[in-house]
Amino acid sequence: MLLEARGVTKHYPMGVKALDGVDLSAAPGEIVGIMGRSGSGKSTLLHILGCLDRPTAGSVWLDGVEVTATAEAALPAVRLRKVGFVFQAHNLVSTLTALENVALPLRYLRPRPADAMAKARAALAAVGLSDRMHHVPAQLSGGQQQRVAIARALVNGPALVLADEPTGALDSQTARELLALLRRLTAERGQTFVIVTHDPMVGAACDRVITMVDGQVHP
Amino acid sequence: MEALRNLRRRSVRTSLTVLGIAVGILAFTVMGGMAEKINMIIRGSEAYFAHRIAVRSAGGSVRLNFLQSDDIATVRQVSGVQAVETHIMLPMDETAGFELAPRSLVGIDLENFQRAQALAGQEAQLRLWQGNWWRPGDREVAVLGSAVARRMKLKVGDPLLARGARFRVVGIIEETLSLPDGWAFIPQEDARALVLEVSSTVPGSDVPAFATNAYALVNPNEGDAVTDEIATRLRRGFLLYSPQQLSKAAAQASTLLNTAILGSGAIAVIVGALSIINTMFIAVAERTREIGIKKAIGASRWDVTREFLFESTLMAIAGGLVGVGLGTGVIYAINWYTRDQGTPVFIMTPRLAIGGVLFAGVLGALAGVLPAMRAAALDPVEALRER
Repeated sequence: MLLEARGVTKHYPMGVKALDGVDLSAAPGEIVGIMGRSGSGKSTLLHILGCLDRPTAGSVWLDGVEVTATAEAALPAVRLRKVGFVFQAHNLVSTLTALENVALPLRYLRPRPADAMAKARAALAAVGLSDRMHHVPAQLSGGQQQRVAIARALVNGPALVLADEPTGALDSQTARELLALLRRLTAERGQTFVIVTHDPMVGAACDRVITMVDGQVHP
Repeated sequence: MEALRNLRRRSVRTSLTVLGIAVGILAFTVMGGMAEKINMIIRGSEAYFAHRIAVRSAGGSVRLNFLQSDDIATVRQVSGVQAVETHIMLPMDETAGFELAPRSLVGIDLENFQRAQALAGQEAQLRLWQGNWWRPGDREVAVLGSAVARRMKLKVGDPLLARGARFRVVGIIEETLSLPDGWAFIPQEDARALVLEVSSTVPGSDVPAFATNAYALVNPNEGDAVTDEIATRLRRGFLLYSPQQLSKAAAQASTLLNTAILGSGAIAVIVGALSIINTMFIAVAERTREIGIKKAIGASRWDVTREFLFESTLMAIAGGLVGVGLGTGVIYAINWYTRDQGTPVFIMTPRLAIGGVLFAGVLGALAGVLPAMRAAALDPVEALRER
């Protein structure tokens, strides 16, 4: 398994249980959908899987490494090399062009790859935005912005891409195109996608869907 | 470049912050220009006295005691004294003492003066800019310091009118930016005649030779020992200053002045730096989601810190450059308005310009530390919730 979560629990002060013993696994190249109502713990789980947050209990293994046991200071490097993120909206840095946004993760790599810009151009080409490279986010449509975000998530070649409501701010036609793009890229690159969504159409496009209710995986 | 675009995105706020620093650096530069002028006078005096033990009357400006031929001979006989240079110094006119470069007539024995020049260090040597020194035996001639020439609008060949006497200008000395700029060298006989004409304290007109100041030329590292020896041999009533004493006093004066002048300039810059802190905290608050995105895609705390530090430093350096530019303009303007004084009031030096920009940059970096640390410490999950 590329990703394995065992008994992941997240408690907040005042006794709020966001996650309660969640188990999840994903194989290389698999697209896993996480569905559930608001407040069911989907996003919290996604943040823990992406090393942005730590569980109160339980463990997460990513590409053979127990990331829940990894030191806090080492987690940015794990995110940089192994995880890509696509968020719902306002995903991009507004002052950077599409190309610069895609190249952003490469900026933080040490040593920085000599062909960083070439890699970013290739990633943008892969999402069909070669002609929008020098546009800033305000000059792009919502769908184009999400494609830039996908290119940025893929540019480092991460093993796992996590998407939080990636079609949430898109119309149904654009959302369909974006899903087709995700499927194509997964097939080409063998990367694992975990997608949090409300949208049944997105769920239908996944290889497997788990449903969450009150912080637990619904059987 | 991302940092420049971030600063341009809030151009009014950035401009005001840069202006805050610029005003501080302007004050720092102008104050620094004053300190540089004072330092130059002190350094010039230090160089001048590095090889000289100064001997003058203990009576202060009243000149109770003049140095007589016997006194000069006594000083000359002390072991370690290579030569004795004598001056007769008197203010050029009744108000000359209240000028930026106080103008004095300095009576010298040319041969004696030139020997001392040869023995003194390179830094203390006075070089002619125009004309020549007078020939032995010439009377009523003068070689002017640059400030005297400029203030009195004199050139070679013009007459110098001082204390009721008339001297023909035969030479002008290169600007030293220190005390000799205010001096007009005249033959010692002429100076002696001027003193005798007005003084009631001189023992009598039959005195063949006297001087108001004498300088024993010595090896700089023997100054203290030779000074002690002169003090024991010379009759009472004279003050002696060794090169070491003068150097120490100069260093103390320089430190005190620099601290006071540059300190007050620095306060102005620090006030400007506070505006950077404010601007950067606002930037962190506005860009919380952007910070969250960057941290999510793998930016480390240091990556985030560095980006904000770079922005604050960039703003400060821009302010520093503007401030140094404005300061240089102000210095040149003030020097232009006060050019009648004959010597610049402020001096703009490369080290002051570089120092001003560097000081701004360092303060900018320091001012950015707290906001940058706050940005770096943001929880990415919380930051991503911002809209």
